Amino acid sequence: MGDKALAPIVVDLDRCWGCRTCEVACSLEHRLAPDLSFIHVEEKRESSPIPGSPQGKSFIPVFCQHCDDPACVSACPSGALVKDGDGIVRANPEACIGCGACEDSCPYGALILLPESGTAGLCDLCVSRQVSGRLPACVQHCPGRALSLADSGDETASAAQKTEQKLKFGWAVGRTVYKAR
Amino acid sequence: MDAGKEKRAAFAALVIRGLAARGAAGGRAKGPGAIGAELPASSPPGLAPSAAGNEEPDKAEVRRSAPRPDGQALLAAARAWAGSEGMEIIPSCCFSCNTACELLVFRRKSDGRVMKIEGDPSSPVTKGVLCPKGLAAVDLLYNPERLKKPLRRIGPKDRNSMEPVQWEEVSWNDALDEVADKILGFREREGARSVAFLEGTRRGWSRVYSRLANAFGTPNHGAAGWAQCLWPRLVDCKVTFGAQYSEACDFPNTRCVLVWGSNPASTWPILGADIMDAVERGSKLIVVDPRLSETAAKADLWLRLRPGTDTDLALGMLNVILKGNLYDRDFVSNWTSGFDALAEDISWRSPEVTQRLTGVPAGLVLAAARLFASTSPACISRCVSVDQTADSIQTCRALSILAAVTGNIDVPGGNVAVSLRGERSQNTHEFILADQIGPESLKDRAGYHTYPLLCGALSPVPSDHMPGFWEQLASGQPYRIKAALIFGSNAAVSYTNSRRVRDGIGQLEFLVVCDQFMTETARMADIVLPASSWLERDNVVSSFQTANEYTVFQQPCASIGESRSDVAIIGDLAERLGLGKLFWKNPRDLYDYLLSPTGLSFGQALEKRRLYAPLVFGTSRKTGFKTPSGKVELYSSLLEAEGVDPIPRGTAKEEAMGRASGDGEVARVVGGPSFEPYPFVFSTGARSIFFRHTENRRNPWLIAREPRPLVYINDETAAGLGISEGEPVEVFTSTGSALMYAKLEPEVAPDFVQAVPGWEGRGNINYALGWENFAEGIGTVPMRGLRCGIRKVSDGR
Repeated sequence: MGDKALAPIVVDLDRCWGCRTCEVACSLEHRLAPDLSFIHVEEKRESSPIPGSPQGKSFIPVFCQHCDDPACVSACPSGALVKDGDGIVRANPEACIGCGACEDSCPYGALILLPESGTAGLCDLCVSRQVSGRLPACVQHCPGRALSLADSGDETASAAQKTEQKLKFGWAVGRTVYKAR
Repeated sequence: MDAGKEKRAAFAALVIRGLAARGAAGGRAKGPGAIGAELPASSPPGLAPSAAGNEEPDKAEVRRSAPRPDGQALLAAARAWAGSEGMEIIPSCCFSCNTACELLVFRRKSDGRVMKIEGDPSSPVTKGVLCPKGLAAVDLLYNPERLKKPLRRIGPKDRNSMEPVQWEEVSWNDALDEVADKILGFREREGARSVAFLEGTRRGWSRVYSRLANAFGTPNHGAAGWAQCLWPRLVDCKVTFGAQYSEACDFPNTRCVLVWGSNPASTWPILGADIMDAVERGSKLIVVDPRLSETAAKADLWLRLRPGTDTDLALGMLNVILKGNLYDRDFVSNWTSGFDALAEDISWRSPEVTQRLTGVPAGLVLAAARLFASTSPACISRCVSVDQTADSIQTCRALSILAAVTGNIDVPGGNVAVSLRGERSQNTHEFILADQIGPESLKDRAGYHTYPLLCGALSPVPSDHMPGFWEQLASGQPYRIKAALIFGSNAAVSYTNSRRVRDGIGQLEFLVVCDQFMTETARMADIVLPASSWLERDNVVSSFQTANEYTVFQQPCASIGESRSDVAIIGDLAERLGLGKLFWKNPRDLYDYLLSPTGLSFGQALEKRRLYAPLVFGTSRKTGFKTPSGKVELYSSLLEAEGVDPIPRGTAKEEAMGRASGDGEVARVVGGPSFEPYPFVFSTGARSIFFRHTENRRNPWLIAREPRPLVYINDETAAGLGISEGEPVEVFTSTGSALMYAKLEPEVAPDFVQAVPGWEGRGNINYALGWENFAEGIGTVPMRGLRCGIRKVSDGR
């Protein structure tokens, strides 16, 4: 793929109501088993207002952050996971030995081993859809329109921010953006 | 919980903490100072999100959403991609529910196989979104359980037998000949009333079917919904406003949305998105729901009423508005009648009394009433819940009155009447040939003397009171009903009191079921007719409940086995019954007829994709309301003429005050004293985005996300009963019981239990719903505020 960074996904928690349409859209788009998807909606409850819900019940879609310094890529012993020039972490099923090191290393629980092939699978930001002028399946179909693509003119974070965070956490910044009023 | 799930949950918590630290805590509660805070997901779980918290607020605005690309460009891109993959795109619209979302069907050119379904990004209504039911609808075509040929029962004779049913395949000709011969024979020997025509939820052919029932001449016609779904609202619109449907919400112009007993986020996602847009613009959102629903989670005010107390809550709010002079004086004096009678009748309903009756804290009653009345324009978004209380018609009326006295009727941003887009309506007594049933025959209709709003002229489709109908079927009194046709309805599951319904079906001498799958009902039939799905047929869809301004179309994208559209089947049957002149040989002829006032044929309309007519406001203020008084009738003369209470009253004052003077414990106050073994209040009001009524339970993509019948229970209540998340639970009443699976939520009231209906087998909650306390005038079977017990099930029992 090209070197132009693909726009990351912006998640507006004020508009996510946890319907899990994104999961079904993802499952169908990637021809996964019906119960599998590369995006999962989590629920968070508090007894007071929280971001995304004045009543304390929010929904948070979780998927691959396409980290700048991805733990899964470092953990992969067979070179099957790579961070490409367009910003996407990709899995190469040919090279994957199905050891599961990536799944263990991902701090977000975003990577899964596909039961049928035994190889790693993860969100690819629907790159094949994006290069043909279509929206990622989850972004297009989200009924609440909680998911959108970030303005491609923006950078995810400044180099200084990334460095600061890396120093602090030993972890590089991810690409997904969560927002709430 | 697997490791992945655990990590995702931890990350979700981190996102929330990070955003909270950046100043977004429940958004609107903070007032206008709150900024759009964003958290780059950078921190591994387990570490405090201090980096996010340290950032300068102005740096937080690092990311904005790009505007959504133009819909036509996205459609063109989809077409180009499809072409490159050897596929073509057939535009159609979904009928997984009544929203009618426009969509694109991707069909392989080489063999005509439908490969995928996506939302139509060029749709002005949906803008390309599509819910799971539509996305996964390819399964409707290729599910191996789809019925493909007409079937005739060989045995066993007992319809309720648990033995496997033996079938033989028959031709359409033989099947329809047999159906026609049989029902003509019954009509000849025992009169038309010995044959019943039953149907399910509206799917475009429903009124053609009603037309057949009336043309055949039987008074016995009905559906599981109607008195329990939409009819109370429609009758309310008619008697209160003189309009067919006047409760659509003008969300784009509103400043306050009151969602009442509805969860659009799950059940009308397109409306849900409109509401989110309104909220994003700064509109207020008030949600009335016994559960913290997906929609309620976004509300400024959430009113957790006790199920079934809707009328009391609405009247309590109304009294706050009248007492506080918060109503629209001009509108009330010029355009309503009966105001004084109403005001006097509810004057005792203080917020405190309302709290005792409904469980909603007095302060919230006050706040919600004031917010709704003082924010203009405002609209009320209500749905089936208000049709399912024990005083359904009055619940609907109370809400209409709330909208009317605040001046929110027929104005931008309020509740508006919807008209068609020039096409001919099927929803008229003229279209369904209602006058074919004469006065003598009407007396044979179950409930005719008791439920005029359902069985008589004010009913959208004059029909049987179904509990009475089933009792009659089971008992043979006052006369025997010998045969039934059931189209598009899993009656053995979808009606309340399923055991009694099965008893009734078991008594039939002849049963025809038309469906796509071998449902529990089809399994009981003598003849099963394979119906096509909405992906295989033409249709004109005027979804007045969602697309206020558009009529859209379906067209065949595939054909499966010998299945046929209901309109075609009805037409062929009518021909054999000697009624061919009243029907359409080819479904397209029907749609040409419906569209003829627009000057377009169905084919031409299909080319246009949609018919459009903008909402019109203020008409009734010019022409008057089409009620006997020409005004909004707060005191309904039409209901009074039918012997139905002209004013919504809710719980009687004496009863309410007696209760209110008690110890104040809500559980003791409403619905009588709590008693073993039925200490819980329950409803069957929970819905899932993955299902509609009894449908979709065979679809792997949908069932994977909600595999079992759920019952929502308060987490502490469950703990007290030893019930853990996901464990089987028996929900039981004096009528029967169902086996469901616990879904624990801290926000539901400790004494409240809410079940998801629509499941076959032991998970069918309708086994637990009895027939009592029917709503005055319309006969609604109450499904809110019932009593039940629950117990943990161990070792399968």
